[in-house]
Amino acid sequence: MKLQTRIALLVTFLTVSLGLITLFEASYLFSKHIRSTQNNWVTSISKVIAESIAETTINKDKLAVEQQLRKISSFEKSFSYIYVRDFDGKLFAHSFANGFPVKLVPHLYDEKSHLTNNHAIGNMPIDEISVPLIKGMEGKIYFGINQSEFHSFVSSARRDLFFTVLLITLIGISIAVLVGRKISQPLRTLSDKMKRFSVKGNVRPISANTNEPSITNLVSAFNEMVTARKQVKTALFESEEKLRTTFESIGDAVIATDTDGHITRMNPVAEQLTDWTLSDAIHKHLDEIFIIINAKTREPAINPVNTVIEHGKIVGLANHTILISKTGQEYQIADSAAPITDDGGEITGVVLVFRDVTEDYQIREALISSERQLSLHMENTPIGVINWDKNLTCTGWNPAAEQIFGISRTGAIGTQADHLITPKGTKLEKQGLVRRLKNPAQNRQFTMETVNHHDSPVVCEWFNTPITDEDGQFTGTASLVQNISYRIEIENELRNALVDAEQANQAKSEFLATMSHEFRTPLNAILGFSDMLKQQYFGPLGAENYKDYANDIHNSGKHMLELVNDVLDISAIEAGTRELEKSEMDAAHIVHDCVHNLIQFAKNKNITITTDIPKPIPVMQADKRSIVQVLLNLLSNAIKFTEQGGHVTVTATSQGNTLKFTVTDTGIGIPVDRIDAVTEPFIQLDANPHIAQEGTGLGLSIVKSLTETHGGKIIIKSKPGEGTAVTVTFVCDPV
Amino acid sequence: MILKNTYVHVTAGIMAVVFIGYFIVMGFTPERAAVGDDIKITDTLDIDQVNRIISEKTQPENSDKIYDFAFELRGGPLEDARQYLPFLDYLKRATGYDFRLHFFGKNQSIIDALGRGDIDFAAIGAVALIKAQEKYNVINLVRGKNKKNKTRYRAYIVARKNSPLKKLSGLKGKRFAFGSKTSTQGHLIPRIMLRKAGLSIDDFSSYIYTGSHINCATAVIKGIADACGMQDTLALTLINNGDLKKLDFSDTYPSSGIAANGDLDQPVIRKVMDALLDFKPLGRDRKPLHNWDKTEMPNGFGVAVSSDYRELHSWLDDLGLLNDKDHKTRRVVP
Repeated sequence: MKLQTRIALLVTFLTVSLGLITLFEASYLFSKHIRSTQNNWVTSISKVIAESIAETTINKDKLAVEQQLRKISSFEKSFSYIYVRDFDGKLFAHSFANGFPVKLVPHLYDEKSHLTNNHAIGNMPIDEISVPLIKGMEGKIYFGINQSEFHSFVSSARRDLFFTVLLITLIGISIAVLVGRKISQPLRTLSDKMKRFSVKGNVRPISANTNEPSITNLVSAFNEMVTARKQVKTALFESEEKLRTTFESIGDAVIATDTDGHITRMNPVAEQLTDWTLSDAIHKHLDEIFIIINAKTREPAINPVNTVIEHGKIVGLANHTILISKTGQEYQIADSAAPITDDGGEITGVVLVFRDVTEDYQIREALISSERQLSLHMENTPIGVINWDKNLTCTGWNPAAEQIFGISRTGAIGTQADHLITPKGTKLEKQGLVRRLKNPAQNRQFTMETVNHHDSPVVCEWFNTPITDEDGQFTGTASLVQNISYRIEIENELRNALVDAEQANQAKSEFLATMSHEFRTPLNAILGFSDMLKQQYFGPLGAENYKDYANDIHNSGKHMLELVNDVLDISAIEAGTRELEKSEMDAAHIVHDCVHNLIQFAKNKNITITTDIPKPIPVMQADKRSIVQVLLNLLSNAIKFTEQGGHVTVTATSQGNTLKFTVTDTGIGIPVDRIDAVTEPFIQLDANPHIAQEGTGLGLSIVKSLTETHGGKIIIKSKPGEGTAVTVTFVCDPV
Repeated sequence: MILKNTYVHVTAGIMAVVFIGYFIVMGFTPERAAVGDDIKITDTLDIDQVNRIISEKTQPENSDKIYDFAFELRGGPLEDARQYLPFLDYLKRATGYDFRLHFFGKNQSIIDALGRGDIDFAAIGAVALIKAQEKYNVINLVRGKNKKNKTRYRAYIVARKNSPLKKLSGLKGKRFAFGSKTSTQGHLIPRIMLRKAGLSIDDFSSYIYTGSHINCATAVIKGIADACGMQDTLALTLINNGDLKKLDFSDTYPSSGIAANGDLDQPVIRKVMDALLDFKPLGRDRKPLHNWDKTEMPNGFGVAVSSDYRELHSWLDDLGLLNDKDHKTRRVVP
């Protein structure tokens, strides 16, 4: 219903109500006044009449009284009847023409019985009053007052009053309609604006279009409200934007729920960790999205939202909590949940903040483990670990330090360094120690000999590290102290042994040099003379056996000479006396020469030798003799350990200044566990002395030594039953 | 469509309210008789029938009796009621009995009413008492005391102030007024005074019984009578006011008193008598009383003895008044 209509109806209702109330009230008051006036008049008249009749009644002059009553009745028409009760309580006289009405008889003996206005006697509305003839005595005079005139008078007055009120009501209604229209116009406008305002929230200020102060005030208040709301809305929008930006840029995951645990917000980090998007997760229960278990027991962890709502306090999840994402990914998380409350302190939701601490957790675990290990090391290491503050007061002292310096941790902690380390040292020694420890950066390592608290001399090697705070300020020194007393002793012994060894080596070299000459001289004679015998330079030997014997003597001599040469070579190499004589050499030629030298040896076993030089090898500066010796050894071994009909291949390549030769055979191969050993001196493939191989067992050791002397290395690959490939490299100089 | 119009609704509502209001306000008054019309009543009784019904309805339910105490109307019913009602209230307090005031007018015989028991107690003059005792069983309880505390009074014969009459002897051939025929001071004592003065009522040109002392005085003042016989207290008041002059006054005779019907219970009579004798209107019991000093017993009551009235009884007999015979009487209505 329109406001205007309501105002009109309201005013109409009020006017009609007021009018009716006024009418009733006026009618009642008028009626009461008239009645009161009538009663007063009747009472006054009746008292006078009573006085005038009293004596006559006392005198029992009934006739006179009746005459008086009739006279009064005829004179005063409003007295429809009068009757008198005498002083004995009996009816004495009355004015009724045809006898006394039965209806009135009770009035004569019942004091309280009187006709009232609503009762009628005959066809007349009567009000009956009674007045004592003489106050205090029984005699009474009763007057029946006809109310007809009163009624008609009152009715007439009421009718006039009614129409007056009706007229005023109609006028009032008309005014109400007009005024309502006028009043409600700005209110209607205001109402429309407020409706639009409530819906759209965006309304321009309005004007009152009236001078009515209350309406202008209302409009003014509305306009202020519109302006204030705009400002608030703007501020709210900005605040929301800030909040949204903050929410989405928070490095931790944030999930907000309502009081039932249903998700209302999630930030991108939460989406990432849970693998749920906000659009999928919104309105779902947290239990569906945030699945957590105890890292140790793997049992489901308690949902923190219920706890927060129940207790209204911030709750942190238990340690070792794992979040399982939608895709099954597990994250170690650290988190807390807190209630969201309104102005009245009522909880309206819960905010859950958590972050992936898997890495941190692992680091922490690793740190703990590391610290445990470090502690283990510190407690068990034989190296003394000592910490000093910047005043060189001991703050850390491990068992090894106790052992070294002969003082317990309890006695060491808090003790100054000079007293702790050099209890019996000289002043100079103490100062030296202090100076060094106070400046660990310049004294990272030093050796110091002291006498410990057990009066034992100790030689320690000190490794010092300055300890600084996060600002780089020096706060102390960390010292690792190794008791090298035993090592020094060993070193001294070794030193002595070295001297002895060097002397022995010198002696050996001299011996070998001497022996070389001593061995070669007879060997040359043996070889020479055996060769002569074998060649039968001076005629036949006689028996055939003597030729064989000469052959054997020659071969043995040759073998002996090879052995002597090899021994001398290896000795020279080990002694470092074998110097490289570098000259220009052509590797390809060397290969061919070496192959040529042993071709016959190969043919004797029906072994084919193949050379493979894929690219031209440039001329380099190298020790030709060493390279030849190496190649000859390798080829010789290859042929020696290859069965009849086998193959030997020689490959030569170069890369920069490095020459590489590979000799591959299809021989018996070398067991894996023997590969390293075969380069040791005097090691043969088969150590069984009854299955002796030809050779001295020094070949590969010489190869290894010569190769390493030349800056190269030897690599042996072999498979028993299939063959062996030996690769040697030489670092040469460019031409 | 029309009915949906709000304004039509409003108007219809207002009209309905108006009509309803009109009828509520105006009421449904049936046709009534106008002022001045006769009341049409069909069911009526005559007075006797009514009184019989009243008697039946007012039979006392318990034994509490109301004693009727009568006085002769003197000054006027209202004034007399104002005087005697407080006195009856005193009696009620003093005895515990209920009393009802009765007045006896001119045409009523207090003697017969007291004698028959229509009334139980009465303030009665000597003549009435003597006559009542002659005829009935009436007991004289007490006599009224005047201001001088005496239980005797006088009568005065008075004339107009400017009357040429000077003494009783000058009353021959004049017009005389008496009070009530049964009045002692108003009739008997003046007759004694006249007899002693050698006069009788036959010597007057006419005589009338006015019914009361004040009527007597009025009759003389107005010139209806040349002289009258009246009570001493009223006479002295009027003489002092200059309205009348004294011609003569009498000897003292026993004053009026209170008599009771002899058939009443003796304890009741005794109790009432004791209360009357204990009545102190000028002292303790003065406050509720009204103009008691203007009565014939302004100072209360004294003991009454039957022999007190012997002289008056013989005078009544001598004057032939015991049988109550009159010759020329004229009622005067002041």
